[in-house]
Amino acid sequence: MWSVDSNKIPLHPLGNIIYSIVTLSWGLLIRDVRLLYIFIFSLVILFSFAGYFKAVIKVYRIVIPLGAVVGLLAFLLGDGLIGSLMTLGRISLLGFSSVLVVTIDATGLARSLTQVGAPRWLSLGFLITVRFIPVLKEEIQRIREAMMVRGVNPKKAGLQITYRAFVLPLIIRLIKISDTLAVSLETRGFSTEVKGTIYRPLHWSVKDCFVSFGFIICIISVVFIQWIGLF
Amino acid sequence: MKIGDIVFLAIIAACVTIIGFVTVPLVLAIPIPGIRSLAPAFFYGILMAIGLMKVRKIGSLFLIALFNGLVLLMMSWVMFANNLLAGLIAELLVLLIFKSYDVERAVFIGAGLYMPLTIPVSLLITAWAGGAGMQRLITDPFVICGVLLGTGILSFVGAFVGIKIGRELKKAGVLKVQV
Amino acid sequence: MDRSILIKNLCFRYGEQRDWILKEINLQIDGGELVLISGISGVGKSTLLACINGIIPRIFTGELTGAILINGVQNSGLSMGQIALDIGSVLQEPDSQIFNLFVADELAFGCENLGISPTEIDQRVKRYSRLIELAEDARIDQLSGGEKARLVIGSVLMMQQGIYLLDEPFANLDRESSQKLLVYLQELTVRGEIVIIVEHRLDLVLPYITRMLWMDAGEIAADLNREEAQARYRRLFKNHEPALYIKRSPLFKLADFSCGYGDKTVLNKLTANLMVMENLVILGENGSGKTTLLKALAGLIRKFTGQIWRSSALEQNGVQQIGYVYQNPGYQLFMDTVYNEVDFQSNSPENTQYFIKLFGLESLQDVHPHSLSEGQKRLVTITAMAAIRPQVLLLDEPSVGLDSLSLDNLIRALAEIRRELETTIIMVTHDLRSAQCFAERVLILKDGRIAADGNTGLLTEYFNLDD
Repeated sequence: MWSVDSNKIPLHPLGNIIYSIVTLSWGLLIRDVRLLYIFIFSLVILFSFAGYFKAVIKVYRIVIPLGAVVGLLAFLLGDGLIGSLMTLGRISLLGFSSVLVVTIDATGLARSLTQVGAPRWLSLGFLITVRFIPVLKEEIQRIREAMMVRGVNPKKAGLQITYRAFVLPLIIRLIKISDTLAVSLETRGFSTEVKGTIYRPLHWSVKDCFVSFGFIICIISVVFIQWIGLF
Repeated sequence: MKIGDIVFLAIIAACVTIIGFVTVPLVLAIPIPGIRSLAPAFFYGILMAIGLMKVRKIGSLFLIALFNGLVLLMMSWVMFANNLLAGLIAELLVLLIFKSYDVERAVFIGAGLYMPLTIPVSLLITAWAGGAGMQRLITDPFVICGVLLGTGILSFVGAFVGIKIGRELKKAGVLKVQV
Repeated sequence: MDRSILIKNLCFRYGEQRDWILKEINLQIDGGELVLISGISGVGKSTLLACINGIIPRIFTGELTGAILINGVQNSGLSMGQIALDIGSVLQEPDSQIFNLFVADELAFGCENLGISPTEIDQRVKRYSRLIELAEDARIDQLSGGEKARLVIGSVLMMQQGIYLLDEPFANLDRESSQKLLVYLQELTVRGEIVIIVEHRLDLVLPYITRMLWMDAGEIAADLNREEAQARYRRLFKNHEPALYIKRSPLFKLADFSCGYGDKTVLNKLTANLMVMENLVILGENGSGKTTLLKALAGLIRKFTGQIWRSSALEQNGVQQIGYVYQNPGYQLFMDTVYNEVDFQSNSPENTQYFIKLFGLESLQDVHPHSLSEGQKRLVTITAMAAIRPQVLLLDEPSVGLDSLSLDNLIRALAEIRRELETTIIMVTHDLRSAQCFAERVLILKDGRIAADGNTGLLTEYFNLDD
């Protein structure tokens, strides 16, 4: 996710989402296992040149073993070697479509959503969700410590008390945090009606143009190869 | 919706996402379709119910699903679509049956339905990626019914617990309902 | 532009409450003033700020009478967005106010809302990130508590509204950062702007202010200039005699104890012996390691170097005999009534009743703990912890949110527990009142080490009580 290092000049977030959707949808149509692997390989090359090599490696470190397990399962369920390889290929394609989105930076995505006319509260809500994940993790840790201090554990206190000791303080904190944040936003002039300006708007870069061109070539090539019946 | 409502729903979505991050890796290696929805269903039910108990406005459930989905979009757009669709369908069902979240039954149904509804899309993806053998496996009614039933039970129990806690906090004056 | 705040006959109470929180406030503040609002917890300081910046009654509702005029315009007809054009507000709990992922974006947020051009915002981001000493591209999740506090303050100052309300802005800052910020705020007032600060660390703020409003029970009890305020501060806190400090047997021994969070070292080779039955007060700047020390004593720190020895009396039949009360009591309350909360670890109903009576909670027995005020919640947590009859009671800022009467009750109850149960009490506090009433021995922490260890004479030094 956002912990995956992105390259220095990232591609436009909305572009990445489109590539990801098209990659997987296109992959759905490929029936030949060789063509599927050629398609994946071409995309890996294209996006590695665009600076996504590290992300590909990181994601594929998880995807390949997972695909191998599911492929093996498919083999055992009677799909044969080609069927198993197809399974592995499709899971790789799922993985590749993830590479394109794991590298998206949340701030960039929020900003580009606002730029394309999405309401500001949408990007605000999204950023709040992303930002408060680590904050709430800490809160949960504190609650677990508080449970230890008060001697709450399922063995001694029973399940009902244990869930109360966890859930009740957590919800109280969620309410308190959201009250404070809402007040802070309003005192800083935010409202659902005000349009405001956009600091550091995102633009479609030359790199985006090259990558989208390469991507379209890959897509057309797949159609062409299927059409002429090369495989 | 007021700013406070959007903020609260976004924070609930953050909490839901954490629960997903904690529970899903525990079951990732188990090759049962839908298990990733089953594992966090109880806590999702609680949190969804709390969100809907506080912000009793049409669109609340969809917003939680949307904010959660946008975070998941940064991992896979399939998960995003999955969450969004589930949120949308659950919200539409509540709208059709109850027209609003004024009654607690609407909260219960909305919060309880969300998680089971995320299963069909994941089944479709598994069927596509897994090949013919996997399709045979997941079209086995025992598997589908088992996973759906388990997820539904956990999710609705969670929603029930969430409503109970919500009532208690409302009585204590902590949970101020926004209608 | 001449800036001003004029408040006429302001009264406020929350809808469900009988008592007025603010009573007949009349006040005029003009451009160029740096005003400190002080007073004990719960007297209405934050509520007054919330009325001025419009949070009351727009977000938190209640009954409000009287009038507030900002720069000559009555604020009752204005929206939050319109008020935000004139007033910047820094709230408590910085971590809950930040929603962006990078410093520059958080700084820019308010200006974006005001419709300021991206070029101008960019210039301001550069200027204000230097002011708050943070890199523009720094990730917010990697900032310390103090850095987040500076960021929140910077994001408000960057909007350049001209009137700034700061509610305990220095609570997460060390002295040096606080002083730098105060110098900047002083410069703003020289330019004709208005700064109002609510703060309990009077010694820190008094040298910079032009005026102090002392609040008591919802009213402005005194309106003083800087010299009068400083004289009052010294008078308030100087009448005490150092208590006798008697050596006893050790309860905890720490030797070269170090621990931290992530890469950050909080306690740094700390060495100390804490004794049985001593009333120990731990003081220190924010971030000096006070709460971490309490956590270490409570056994909550698992990763550390050095040694920590605990007396065998602290564990009986595998159960820890340590009561630890958090700074934020909300984490530790989970039952449906105050009685059940105290009864949870109590050994008998008689024991529960004894402690409920001792801490004066009889009238609240059937109330839900989370419906209480922050001060009352803290009292319930202390009572629940005391009811397990621990060998040692660790209290983190127990006096926050307590009025004078409740504080007197707390001190009396703690004295009785100590006398009757022979409980050792270790307290972390910023509050001179509780430190004075309670301390026998004083430890001052600085940068994770013990900077001073002695009797109550250290309070004079720490709270700058000397002339």
